[in-house]
Amino acid sequence: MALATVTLAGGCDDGKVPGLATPPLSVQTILHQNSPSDLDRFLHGLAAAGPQRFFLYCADVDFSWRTRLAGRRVIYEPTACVFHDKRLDRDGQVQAGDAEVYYSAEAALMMAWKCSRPDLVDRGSEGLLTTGSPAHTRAVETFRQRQAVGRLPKQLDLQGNVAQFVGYAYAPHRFAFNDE
Amino acid sequence: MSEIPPPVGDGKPLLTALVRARRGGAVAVAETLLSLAAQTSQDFEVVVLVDKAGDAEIGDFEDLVESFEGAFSVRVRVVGLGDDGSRSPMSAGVEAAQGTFVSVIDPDDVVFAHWVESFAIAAANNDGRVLRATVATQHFSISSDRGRRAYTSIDRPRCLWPGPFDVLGHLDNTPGPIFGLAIPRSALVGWCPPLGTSDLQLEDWAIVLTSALSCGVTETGEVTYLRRLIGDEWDSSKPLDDASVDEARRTIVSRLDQRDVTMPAGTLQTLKTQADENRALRTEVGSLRAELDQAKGESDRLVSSRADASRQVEEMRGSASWRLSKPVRIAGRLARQLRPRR
Repeated sequence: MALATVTLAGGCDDGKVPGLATPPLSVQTILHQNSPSDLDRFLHGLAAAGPQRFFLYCADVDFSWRTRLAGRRVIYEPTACVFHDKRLDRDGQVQAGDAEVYYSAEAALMMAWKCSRPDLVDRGSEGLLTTGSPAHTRAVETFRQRQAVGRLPKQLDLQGNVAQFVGYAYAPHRFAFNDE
Repeated sequence: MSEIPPPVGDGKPLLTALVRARRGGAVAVAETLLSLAAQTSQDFEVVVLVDKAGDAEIGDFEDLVESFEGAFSVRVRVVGLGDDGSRSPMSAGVEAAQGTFVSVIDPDDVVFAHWVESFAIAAANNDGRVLRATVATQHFSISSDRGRRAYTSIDRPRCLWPGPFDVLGHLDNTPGPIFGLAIPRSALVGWCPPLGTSDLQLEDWAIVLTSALSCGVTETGEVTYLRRLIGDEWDSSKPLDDASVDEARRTIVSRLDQRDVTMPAGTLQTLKTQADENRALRTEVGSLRAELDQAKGESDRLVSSRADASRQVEEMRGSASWRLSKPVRIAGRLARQLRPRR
């Protein structure tokens, strides 16, 4: 379980949060978790950035970065708490199902591609192919098939102004489940 | 996971979570309560035990509880223990609890969403036994942000006690945590610290041992409790003080020896293994003792022989013939020295 202290506020250019008399904070961050559909609808024009191609993983990161690419701000509320349940095995390792393994790998490749980081796509693909996980291999194959037929999302953030990659994550993590 | 059994229907919850808020104030239990509010089974209540706190601090806890949605907050009670530290949190908690089982949670710690659910499933087939979930531990640092607590993990979760409950190990001072145990409340009614100590770790140890031996222990097989270790704060994994444990052990053993006890699964095998080891050790000790006796006998004989030889030499040196032949021995020595070397 991740008891994540996370972000959850969409800020306008004037620093005010819609629906609130005053913004709770003025600290900006690079991403937030979850993408409620009402917020998505509020941020008109984001759909023009391309159809969402993320399932289970990275939809929140994609939403945050598209928000910022659209000239909006994402506000960090460090003391907000969200309960995200996980299960551990008796070695203390997170138990991930096949779907989680597959979709997290696929999303990582897609995120790197969409944010114009082909170097990370190449490095990530090589890394995934060496894990021995069938789900990882399948994720790489799927990505390459889509690439071959031109079905990958439009590349954004060509100058790298918004996207941030920290290892295989998209921000420094406060809640770790691995010895990395 | 099996289907969650329906509530018993007597209006009493299956489980009472006893949150021991003895450090850090209300902010230290905010995430604890959040994890309880996220349970997949609602067959539980929460008693927050506020130790050594005045009305103002208790008010902070009540405000925190009210900040949760109503269906959860109505099942949470805040109980003040006074500000003199005279009441044991466990005694007060058991007194306030209505659940069939009670389970202790410490501040800063959190439970997984199936914490209650896995207890409910285990309880359905193990009436009256202590239910044991596996506890994961993880080191955290904390910082303060506008009076709130912000946690950052330092390492990954680890399960320090993954195996089955080891009652003999507990008896021999290998303390596992009280966390993760759902203890039948009936086994603790009337409980008061029997050890004359306010040491919570020692009290936990006594409760775990007493309830396990009174009720037996059933494993849920699930990791459902995350113990967040912060700095050098109290840590149940640390060894206890030997003298205190010896005294407590004598008290507990004396109490338990007055009645029948129940052993957790696997204890007989452990006892048999230990009995086999004891037998083998006794045989080995007997063999070593025989060898030692034999060596000692030989040593005695050698000492006696040496004494005899020394006595004979002294007798010889003291004889008249030895004294009279002394000039001859001197002449012989001189002759050997004067003889030319080849």
